[in-house]
Amino acid sequence: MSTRANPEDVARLAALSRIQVPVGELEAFAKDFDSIVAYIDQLNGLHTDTGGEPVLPALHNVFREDTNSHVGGEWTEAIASQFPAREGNSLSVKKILTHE
Amino acid sequence: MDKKLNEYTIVEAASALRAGSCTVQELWDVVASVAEEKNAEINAYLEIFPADTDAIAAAQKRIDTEKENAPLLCGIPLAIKDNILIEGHVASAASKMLANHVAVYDATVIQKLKDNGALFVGRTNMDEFAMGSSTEHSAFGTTKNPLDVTRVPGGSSGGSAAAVAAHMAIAALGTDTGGSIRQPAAHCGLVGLKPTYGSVSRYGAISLGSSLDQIGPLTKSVADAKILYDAISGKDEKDATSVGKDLYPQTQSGNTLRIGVPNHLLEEGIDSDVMTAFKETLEKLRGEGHEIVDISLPTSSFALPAYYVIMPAEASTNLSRYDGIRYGLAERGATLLDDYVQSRTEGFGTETKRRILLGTFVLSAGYIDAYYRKAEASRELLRAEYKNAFAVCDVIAFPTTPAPAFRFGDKSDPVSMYLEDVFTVTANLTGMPALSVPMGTVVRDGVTLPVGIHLTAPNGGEEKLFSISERV
Repeated sequence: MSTRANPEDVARLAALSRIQVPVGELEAFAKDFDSIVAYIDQLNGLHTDTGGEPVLPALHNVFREDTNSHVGGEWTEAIASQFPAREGNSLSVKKILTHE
Repeated sequence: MDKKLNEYTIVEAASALRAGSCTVQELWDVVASVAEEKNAEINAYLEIFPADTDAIAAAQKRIDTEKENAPLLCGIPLAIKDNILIEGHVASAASKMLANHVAVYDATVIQKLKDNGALFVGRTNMDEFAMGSSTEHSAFGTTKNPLDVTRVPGGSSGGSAAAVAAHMAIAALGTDTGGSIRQPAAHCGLVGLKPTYGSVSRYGAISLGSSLDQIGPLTKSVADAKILYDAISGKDEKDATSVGKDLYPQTQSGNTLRIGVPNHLLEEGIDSDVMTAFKETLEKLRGEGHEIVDISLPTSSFALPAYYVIMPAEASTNLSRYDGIRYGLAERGATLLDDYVQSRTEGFGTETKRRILLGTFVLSAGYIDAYYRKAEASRELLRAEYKNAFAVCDVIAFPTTPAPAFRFGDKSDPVSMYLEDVFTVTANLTGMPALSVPMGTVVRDGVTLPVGIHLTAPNGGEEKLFSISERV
């Protein structure tokens, strides 16, 4: 997209992002996108291949003990209270498989 | 000196509480009433909490019994940015998406503050999901700069900064992904610290860019910033990226420090009176025996473009969790896909959508090498350059922002807003600690406005930052 973003590009990215951009706003998004992409395109001028060995961060590969961190059910009510729709302690969602 | 209780620093308030010249209840009442009174105009708080009488009584009892041994934060009313979880309170990240979201647990920093006996005045306004530099992107109205209400307080931690600057809290916590503590600190005349990546647990902070985010203090003095930092830092098993104090060994510095200045970055784009204030500050430090060293950081000019690749990439990934199914805004359509799309379309504001789309773009097949991987590689170069620079200096200095606080609406195109972060993002990309401290004032339209000097130290070098910024 180093050329110019068009409304179709924006609509495609929006669909991938699970967002709807109204048709009337696609142009404005595309225009903003152009100026942002032109700005980040400066990275093309950066030479990153210095031939050096990659440096591992001081902290890496962190694991915790594989143990139960809390008593079963301790957080159930607090978390379930945030559900938009619940049946007992279950989160209620739309049926995605049908027999029709 | 006739300071009102709400105008106290943490150090002054702690001392008054110990001396018995005021009680925890009196301090709370004054701070909370000023917060209520000023919030109609400033909009620093999205919510001011009712007095927690149990916590106030417990803090008073602790001061009475432990006296000098009581924690300095005991009984101190603090403001907390709306993206840090406090159990039982709404944490919305200033988004419609989370307007109904009640935190089910305390962030580690909140638990630590509670252990210290601190009190919480309320949750502060911010740019939605911390995406912005002005609080203009909040879903719940802008916050005004208390020093000039026609201007922004900076952002994204603009509510926290305004609350402290207007003495609606003694101090505050913010979060910093690309400058969101340091830039509002500069615009509101405060001290703001972005700690070393990992030194403060991010557990219970609503994520924006996980490799960049840090929680840190916004305070009226350097001593206060150190008190809050000491209270909230430390390794936390709940955050796998958190580090202990011993991971980055510190070299001892004497009473005088070598201050590196990348003069090649300061030749253009900075207001002339901001540069004058910067040079005067350096002269003052030189006069006190510190050495000023010219350094070179050539990759710095690529830091902001790299940041605006990495941050949206991580943001689009992090924000994919908001799908309208488990918590937060839940719009319902004909299909499950409609549920997702309608919830996200309704819940996110324009800047958030823009960054999600941008993140989706830079991570997509065909572009990931040119943008995301290139930007990640630039971080390695930046770290190497800073490491080399720190061979000849102890801290690196430049102005925090190119100009003082701007007027509402002045930066309506995205790239001009992004340029607010031009000096601050590098510390997030490298992980190094950085602090903004007021370095004087400039005048705009007859109003005197503060500007900040920005100091960076090697990983784990917070003590160096506190020691030099005390001198500014």
